[in-house]
This record gives sequence, structure tokens and C-alpha cells, in this order.
Amino acid sequence: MGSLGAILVGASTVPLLPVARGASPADDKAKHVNDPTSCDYWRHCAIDGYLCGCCGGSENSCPPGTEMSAITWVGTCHNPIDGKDYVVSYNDCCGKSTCGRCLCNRNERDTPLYIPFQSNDYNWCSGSGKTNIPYHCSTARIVSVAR
Amino acid sequence: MKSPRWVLSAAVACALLARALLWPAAALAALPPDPAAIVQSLPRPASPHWVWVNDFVFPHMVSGKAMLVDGDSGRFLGELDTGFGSQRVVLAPDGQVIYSPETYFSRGTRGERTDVITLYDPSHLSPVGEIVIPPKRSSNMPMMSNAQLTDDGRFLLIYNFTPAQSITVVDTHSRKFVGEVETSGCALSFPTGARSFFSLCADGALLHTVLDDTGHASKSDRTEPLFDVDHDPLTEKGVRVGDTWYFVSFSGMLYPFKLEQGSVKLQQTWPLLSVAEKAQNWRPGGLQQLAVHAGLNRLYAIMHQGPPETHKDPGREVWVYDLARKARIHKIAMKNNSGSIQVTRDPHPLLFSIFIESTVLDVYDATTGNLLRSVTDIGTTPTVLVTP
Amino acid sequence: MLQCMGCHTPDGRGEPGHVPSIRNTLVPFANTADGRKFLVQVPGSAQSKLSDAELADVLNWMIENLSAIPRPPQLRRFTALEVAGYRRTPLVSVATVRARLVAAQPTTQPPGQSAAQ
Repeated sequence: MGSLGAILVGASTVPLLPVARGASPADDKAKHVNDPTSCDYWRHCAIDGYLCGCCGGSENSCPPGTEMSAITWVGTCHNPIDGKDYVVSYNDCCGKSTCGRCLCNRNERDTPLYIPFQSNDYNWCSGSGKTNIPYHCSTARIVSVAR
Repeated sequence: MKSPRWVLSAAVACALLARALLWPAAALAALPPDPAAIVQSLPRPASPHWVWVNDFVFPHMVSGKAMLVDGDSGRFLGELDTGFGSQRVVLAPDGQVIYSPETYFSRGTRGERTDVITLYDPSHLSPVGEIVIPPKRSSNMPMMSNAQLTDDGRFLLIYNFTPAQSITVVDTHSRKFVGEVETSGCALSFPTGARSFFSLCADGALLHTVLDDTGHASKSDRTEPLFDVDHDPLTEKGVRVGDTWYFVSFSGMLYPFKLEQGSVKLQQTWPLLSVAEKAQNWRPGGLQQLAVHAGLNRLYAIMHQGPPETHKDPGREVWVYDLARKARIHKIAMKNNSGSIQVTRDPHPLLFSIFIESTVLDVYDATTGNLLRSVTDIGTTPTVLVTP
Repeated sequence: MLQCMGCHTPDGRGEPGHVPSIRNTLVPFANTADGRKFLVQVPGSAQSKLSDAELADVLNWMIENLSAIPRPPQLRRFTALEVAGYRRTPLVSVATVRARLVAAQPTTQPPGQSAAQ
């Protein structure tokens, strides 16, 4: 969750152009589309939050001491390397204060709150134990090839 | 940094000498000590030109807050600390209390979770009561519809998401949790009458719920799908004039929903953009993207140019519409990116604008569009604006 | 899968206290008229983007692949027609109806598992 673009935490906020987050100039984007710590990473097409790869985790793992939320929203992202579309599950890592590094929000096929399963505006750290609300960062796990 | 005290002492000495030379007649009396422990309080009723800026402080969500700014003077008047994942404060219509749905963990960001409605005194901005509610409050990008009061001012409606969807009902008279109304497949609450509200459903329908005198659901009606969730869904950021709620779709169609004889009916939709403007990729966007002035019957919408799926993007223009004529009457150029707007209810309204990635609150004359003042250092990630 | 696994998790076991497991209730629910109606009318089914035929296929697939209780041979498969009939009436009080269905079952759990949901 977030919808916040790239806030610089702890420094004075630098206003950003209100273009689709992650849409860098074309040549930059080509470089970053395979970088899991970049907002332009192909799996991040509907992500909203801090990237776990910058927080001690990775695109499919949580940082130490956090817990992966079982419930989540999903996106369908196109992998430019193999040309396939993949179902990507943005499981949040929960149980600690927000990570504060590598904020990224993209809204491809994002839906409003009343259509939850594709809505990135929810804090999906909603469950039992550590996953009960404190949001730390978001992963981007491949579930399957999209049909 | 080491302060050059000798420099300061010399400067003070020079100043005193200069004053003594200019007013040689009498030695100046020293200032008296200030009285101890003065604490400000706010006058009642609230000025219609005040605004509560809600801030869920995304980098440090445990420190949510709501900040009060005077739109006329630009003064920061005070704040409320509103806990984890806060969304908005709710102002009682009689101005006697402020309600704030809040979440706390026993050890900051971990431990046992407790959700409460905190009641605040509007003059002293201090808690005067607390109502414990089920720890199920939805945590999401703040929306006005996360927390509402029924029109009779009695029942608070709090949206829950666990991911099961329901509305927690709180009786503000008895200050007790009443119960939960299940709203499976539907989200948020939009009050429609003394004790009724609707929720938006995933198939494009509206679920209308009526509460009885005790705050329990007595009647529940689901409409047919009224909008196309697949091709042009509505955003959740509806605004209300009287008995009509207005929602905008991703592409900029306006959908009015009117309460008629106890049920909610879709009125004629109309576009906020011309064909040419759509071709130029103008579209509505933002977090709190719409505002209304009931007295003038006007709608205000943040507009930007961008590709599809930029419905959350801020804009540099606010377009103003006459709701009776269904026509745009004004375009206000915004000095800064605008993501949230609010218009005061009085006959000489102000238009407030803020953007979640900035901390500057801009204050405009809502009628002329002139920028009156900007107030800096407002929070961390300001979200929705609430006015009396 | 795309639309369901976000909350029900890929194997259907859900999240204790928040999302009920569907593994133990699929077959018992599909065995009663009210239960079959429920499986179609829960918002996740009824409001999904699947057509009536696709939803019938998914429900049948779930019973075959996610149920902890094997499908009895006489259990009717869902058809598009049946799904269409139930789907017209969306269900709002999911928890209430589900609790009633669970209570009406002689047992919905394989032996040795907690019935708490």
C-alpha cells in the first residue's frame, strides 16, 4: 500500500512529476526492468509499498523478524525476457514499522477498495500474530503463468 | 556548533548602549516573568474556515495525527495524535466532540492490538473518552468513507476488513459498541439518511443498509449493478450534496446516486470532460479528488493529463462544475500538485489543497480561484481534509 | 486462482481466525441444497469475473483438488445452469449463513481436526 511515489524519508521531500510511478525514461527503464530493487522491475507492475529487496528481504522473501502475510492482492505482469504474463502475488512482510526504503507504486489493473483482490490500497498485513497490521515492506512473488 | 558568546555579549552590550544613548532619561524596566504553564485552548464553535489535515504518517505509521490549521490566518492551531493506521477524524455536527477511530499495539508496532474510538474535546484537543471496538478496522489509503456518522449524528460507521468486510456500528450517545453489520462483497459506508448508508459492491451494485433505533441492521437492499466495474469503475471518493452522492469513474463520467423513497437510485450520468479533452488524456485523479459546495451546488474535481490507470495521480488543475446545469464553469490553476481538496461550507468558501508527497497546504478562494496563502510543514504524508 | 488465492491461499486452507479453510467444507456444503447455493453466492464466487460455466468448472475443480474430504461418487457436479440460478441472488451475510451451514452438518471435519473456524 502507499500510492506515494518515491518519498525521501528523513530528508526534505522532493516533489516528483506525477507520471506513472516507475516510468523512467526509456533507456533507464530497459536497464531496470530486471532489477528487483528498482520500481521498474517487471514484477512490480501493480505493487504499492516499500520493496523488500531494499529492506533485508528480496522479491520473494521477508526481512528477518518479520512475517509474510498470507492474504494479499495480485497483479498480472508481463515479463519482457520470456514474453510471458505472470500472476504476481504481492505478499507483504509484517510486524515491524514501515521499512522506508525504495517506495514504489504502480497501478496496472489496480481496482478500488470495493474489489479487494486487485486493490493495492489495502494494508494487506491483516491477520493474526505478527501480520496484524504493522506493514514493513512488499514482495512480488510469482504464482503461476497467467492464462 | 560552538556559539561565539563573546560576540553575542558584545552585540547585546552595544544594543543596550545604543538604547541608553537614545533614551537617556529612564533605565528600561525589565520584562516581567511569564505566567507559568499557559496552555492554549480553541474557541467554540469551530470556524468554518478551519481544516483538519489527516496524516497516517506512512514512514512511521504508529504516529498518525490530525492537524488543525486556520485557513484565514494560516496559523497551525494544534493537533491530535491518532495512533496506528489512522484515516480521519469525524466531527460531531454539534461541534461538541471529535471522534477518532484509532489502533494501538501494546508495544508500539507489536503486541496486543486494540482498536478504539477516542473522543476528543474540541477546545482542549485532549481525550475525554474511549470506546473499544473489535480490532478489525480496515487499514488502507485513507478515505473519508472509512469512518462516517449517520445523519442523525448518533451512530459511527467504521469499515472493517480482515479480509471479511463489515461495518462496526458505535452508539455515540451511550458511547458503546453496538455490533457489526456484515457487508460481504461490499466496502465502506456512505450515509443516506437519519440512520442509513450504502456500501459499494464488487459487481457494481450498491448495498443499502438501514439501522434501527438500537443501531442494528433492520433492512438491507442490494441494487442491480449500476456501473461497469470491468471497463470504467467508480473511484471510492464520493462526495455528497443533500440527498445525492456523486462519484466519478476512471474516465471522468459523473454518477449521481440519489436517495428516493428509502432506496438509492442512479440518476443520469454525465461527463466531466469533453471528447476533445479526453482525446488529450485529461482525466480525474487524486486521493481526495472531489469536493462540493452544497449552497452553491458546485462540484470541484482535480484533473491531470495522463494515460489510463492514473486515477490516483495528482493534478495541477481543479475544474469547477455547476451541478444543476451539469456544466463546467471554471478551471482553477493550482500552484502545486493537488492530490486532496476540500471546500468549506460557508457562503464565502475556501478551497484547501494538499498533496501526499508535499507538506504544504495551499489555501484558495474557492470562487475566484486566487491563491490566498500557503502553510508549510504540515505533517509527513498528508491525506484527507476534513472541515466543520 | 488469481481471484481467490489472495485471501483463501493457494491450497484453500486460509488464515485461522480470519479466512476460513475451505478444505473441509467443500464436500459437505456441496452435499446440501443450501450449501451448494452458498458456494455459488459467496461474493468471491458470485462477483468473480468467471462466466457461469467457468465458475461451475472452478467449483468442480476445487472439490476434486482442494477438498480434504474426497468427493463421494454420487455428489452432483455443478453445471452452468445451476450456477446461473443461484448467482442471481448475491449473499451479504456470509458469516451468518456459513455458521448456520456448519452447525447443520453432522461433522464437517476429518477426524482429529479442530472444528473451530
